[in-house]
Amino acid sequence: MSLNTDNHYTILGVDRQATTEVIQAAYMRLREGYVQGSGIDEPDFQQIKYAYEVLSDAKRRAIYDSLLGEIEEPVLDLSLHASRTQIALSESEQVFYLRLDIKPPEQDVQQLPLNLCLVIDRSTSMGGLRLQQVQTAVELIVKQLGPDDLLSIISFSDRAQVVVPSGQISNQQTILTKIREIRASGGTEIFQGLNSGVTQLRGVEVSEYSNHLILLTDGHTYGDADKCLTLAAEAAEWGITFTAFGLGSEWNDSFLDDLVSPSGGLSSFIETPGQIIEFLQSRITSLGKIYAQNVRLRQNFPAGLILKYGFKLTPFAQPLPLGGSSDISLGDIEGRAPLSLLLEFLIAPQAIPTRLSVPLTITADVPSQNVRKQTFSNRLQLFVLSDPPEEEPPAAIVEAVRLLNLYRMNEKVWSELEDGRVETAVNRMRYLTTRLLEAGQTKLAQQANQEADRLSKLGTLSSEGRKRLKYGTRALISQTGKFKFE
Amino acid sequence: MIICADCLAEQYPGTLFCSECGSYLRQKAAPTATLSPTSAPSPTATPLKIRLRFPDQRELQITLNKQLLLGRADSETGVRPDVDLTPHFGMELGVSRLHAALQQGPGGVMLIDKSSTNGTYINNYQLVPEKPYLLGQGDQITLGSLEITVYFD
Repeated sequence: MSLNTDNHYTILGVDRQATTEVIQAAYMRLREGYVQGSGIDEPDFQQIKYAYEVLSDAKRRAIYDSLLGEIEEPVLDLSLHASRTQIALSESEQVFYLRLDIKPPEQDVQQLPLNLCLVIDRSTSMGGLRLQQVQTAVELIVKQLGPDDLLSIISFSDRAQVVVPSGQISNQQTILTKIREIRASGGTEIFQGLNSGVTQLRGVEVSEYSNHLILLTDGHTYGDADKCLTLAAEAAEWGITFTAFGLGSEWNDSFLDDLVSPSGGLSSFIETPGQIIEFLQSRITSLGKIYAQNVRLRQNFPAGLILKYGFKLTPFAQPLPLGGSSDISLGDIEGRAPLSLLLEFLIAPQAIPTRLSVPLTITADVPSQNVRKQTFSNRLQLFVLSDPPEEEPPAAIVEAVRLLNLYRMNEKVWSELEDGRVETAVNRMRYLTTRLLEAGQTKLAQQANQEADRLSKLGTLSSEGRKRLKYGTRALISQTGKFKFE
Repeated sequence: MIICADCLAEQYPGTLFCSECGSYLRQKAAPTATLSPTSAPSPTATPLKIRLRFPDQRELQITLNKQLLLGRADSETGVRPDVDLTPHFGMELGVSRLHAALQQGPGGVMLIDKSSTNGTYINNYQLVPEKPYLLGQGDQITLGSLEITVYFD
């Protein structure tokens, strides 16, 4: 397979489904860069021109496509859209945004069986309705799993107990009886539960399964947060993805974010016990459709280009852990839906017209294609011109950035509070209220307004308000991952 | 840097929404500094000789100082573009009275569609109205369906 060699599509920076208009526009941009003398030399341009001639002619394109089809297995396709592709010379740094869609092929594929472990908090506060709902959810999950899937269940307080050891579901009734015997008592030491869960998951040959640990907790963990994070990083290396659900409002959301980030998993907020079933079920449904796993973004960007912020839009909204130069875990590709990212880049000051070639490289495991740690890549061509034409950013990017900005404003309020800058935080929360109203998010706007009032009177946010705003704005962003480009 | 019109915060060029107040920056913010001497339009543009070649191989030599309007003279409205394409079947081929403009820009000669009825194209790529596009040697421009090849001498 020659996935990384240039073809006419990658030369023009368009995807295989691009319309003639898109191809023409891409060619015009490249041509503009060539004419303005920004880093495209004559041989490059001849290649570009030839690619354009072939792809803009329907007959020649069809023949070319049929040739490409034979040498290329469409295991994963990377498509790129930028807020702009031509930037001006500048003495200051500049920003551009990029959406990267990592698309699985159209056809059906065989999935690996699930190796699933549920790690359930049974501290005192979980008693009553919370545990009851968890028990009902597990009943449904047991019915949902396939004959080859493995399930294990751990309950923990200040120590862990293996409720159901890892195995195929041979007797549903035994599992349900054991689940109903869980009684709530004791404190919350998450490491105990995680460690026991990871042990269950590693009891089988992990490469033959899609391995997942789902944590459900309602409290702060005591004194073992660092141990948990170390274990999460190790588990990611072993091919285990973490999902973390926080129930109620007395848990540490940044801790749960950090816990899932090494494996690119999901952390989410379950506000009421009534939602437990829905959240768990929808998560299991998604996990049952995994096409690619261990997807990672390489940070091999050229000098002068900094990835400043990154957010996963689909399959679920989750901030990307940046910092350092190591690969960024993106998690799994679920079903046929693409994994979409929104990236914000900062470009160093540019003094001369030039071309910046921005590589987007990922590695992924695609078990159904017997592919492990395979590299897939595409490139964005960015031109620095002395007089760039005005470019309208694609609506899909504008909307994603708009909603992401709401989430980031809310995060900023928190960090300002931590720094003791209450007045700035109040002002920002008022701005956020306005922007939420503009976005038609009346409920979230009301919440923000309440929190702004509370902040100015008491200097603190309510713990429910914090979580509602954080996860509410996060949920908004995930919708924009479905926005299409014209 | 650009300045947010709502809260006056400084933002990097290219930012879409103000990081401080969330305001959309593209409509309201204006650049506060010209960034490089080369990006400033040159005040003394030297006249440029341009040849336009029509489908019947006839050629028209024009001199571009700052701007030239291309279109079709119309005695009724009194419109007289700098380059009248009536003798080249402009009327029959859907050229508007004020169809397009050639301008000297910092990077070279720019073509701008002046919101014409039937559109302007460079090498079959349709131009967004009122936006300047750079022309290259030997480019084919199409006004309506009148095809013209452009040469710079």
